[in-house]
Amino acid sequence: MGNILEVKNLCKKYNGFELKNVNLELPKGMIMGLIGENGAGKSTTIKSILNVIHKNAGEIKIFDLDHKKEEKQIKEEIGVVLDDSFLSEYLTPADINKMMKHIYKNWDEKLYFQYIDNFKLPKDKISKDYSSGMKMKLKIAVALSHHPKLLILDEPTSGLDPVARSEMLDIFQDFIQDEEHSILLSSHITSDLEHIADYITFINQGEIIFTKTRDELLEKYGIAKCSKEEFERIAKKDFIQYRKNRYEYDILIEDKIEFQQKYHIQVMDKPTIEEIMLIHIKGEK
Amino acid sequence: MKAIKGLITKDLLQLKSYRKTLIIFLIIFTLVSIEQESTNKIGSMLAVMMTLGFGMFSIATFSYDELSKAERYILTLPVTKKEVVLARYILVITSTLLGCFVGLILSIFVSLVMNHQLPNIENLLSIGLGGIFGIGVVEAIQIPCIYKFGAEKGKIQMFIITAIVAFLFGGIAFIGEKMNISIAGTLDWISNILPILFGVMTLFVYCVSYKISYGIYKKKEF
Repeated sequence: MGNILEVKNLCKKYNGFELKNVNLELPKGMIMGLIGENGAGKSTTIKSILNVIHKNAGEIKIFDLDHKKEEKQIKEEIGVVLDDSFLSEYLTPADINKMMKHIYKNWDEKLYFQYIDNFKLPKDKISKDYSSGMKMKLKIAVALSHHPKLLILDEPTSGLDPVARSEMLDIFQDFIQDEEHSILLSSHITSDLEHIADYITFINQGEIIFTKTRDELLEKYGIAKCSKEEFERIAKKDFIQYRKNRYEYDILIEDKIEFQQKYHIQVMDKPTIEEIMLIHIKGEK
Repeated sequence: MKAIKGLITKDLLQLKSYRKTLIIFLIIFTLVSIEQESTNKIGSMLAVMMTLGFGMFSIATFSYDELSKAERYILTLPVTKKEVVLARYILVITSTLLGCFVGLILSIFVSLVMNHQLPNIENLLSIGLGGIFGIGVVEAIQIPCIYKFGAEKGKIQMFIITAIVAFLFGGIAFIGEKMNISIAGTLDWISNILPILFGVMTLFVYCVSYKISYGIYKKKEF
């Protein structure tokens, strides 16, 4: 199983923010979720991969091709959804079809209008008059209609109601079924990632904190709830971070079984991805 | 070339919303031209105004992309930065030429209806070419300004640079006059090569402008 996307030592420096040696590997047939708070570097990473900003250092390969030298060829095979950028709102879905059939070699008009119909989007209405959920559905329809091999999605479920979100997640799951397609998606809605992502990459202050499989995070990680006395006898090397609450300590553990065998802490919760992220950001060591 | 066609299609479809404004523009200036006494005045007014109007309408597509923050998304499509800039220039130049053509046709039509005579075609073509050159210079300044400062902010810079260029041309004419260099005397031989001169100069300013715009756009981040 080869990688569809490889990012090695990516660096990008802005005034007051720096992306430091970002490394990512996305295998074929997998979904990777990129998580982190606002300004952590998720969008900068995505923009660097898409070559819409100039990286300062590092190597990016998509389909084993250099993302700059073979940019056009690569972009024929990727579908992109950006949270804050799309075509003019004065275009209708029918207009977008007229444009895209000249842009993509593999543009599938039939498939596009099938998505438009399934998503119940009016074909001849300008997208300015759409709700935010409808606008997102239109972006997703466009991203999927040229048979891409890789989807790069920046906050693709924001603005969607729970039913539409679930519908989109099903489409993303179907997309990777043949083991040849992959998805890189950033999302604030970490519960979505718990449903679909195979890998979770957590980025904070421009640095990758970890890339783990979803199962590893949800099954192996734990949050130990303990008193001050219990906390004081735990060695620092045995936990990732802790957060002090009013009456107890929440301690993020990488291997809950091993930890329990060593410290016999009674209360051990199964963490959500959101809790893991929060303790990493807000917690102490 | 296919990608350029796609980008131009997008811009033309965006301009659909300007249809009514364009029709009103055509009617108003056709009516105003009727008031002119000579066929020459009708010709110069319509040719220049239509060239200017059509050119400016096409430049409005920059604002559409800026307002919807489309530039970043467009660069995620299989298009190069060169194609994006080239598509814009093709659209603006074609619209300017089309504007001139519409202006010339309208002026022939108005002259025939109002004065019952055909205007001097040679004269009309010279006016048209002069109009294209003048408006071409303005557009050639305006487009790199938009790429550098944005469609909205670029308007102020464009105005300043256009004013500087106008002063520069005015200054040269003024110095020439003071130094007793007779422009009128040179006009005879200039008028013979005027159409070619305008054509070459227009092409030259657009080429320089394209080079500058692409240079700016290549370095830009989205």
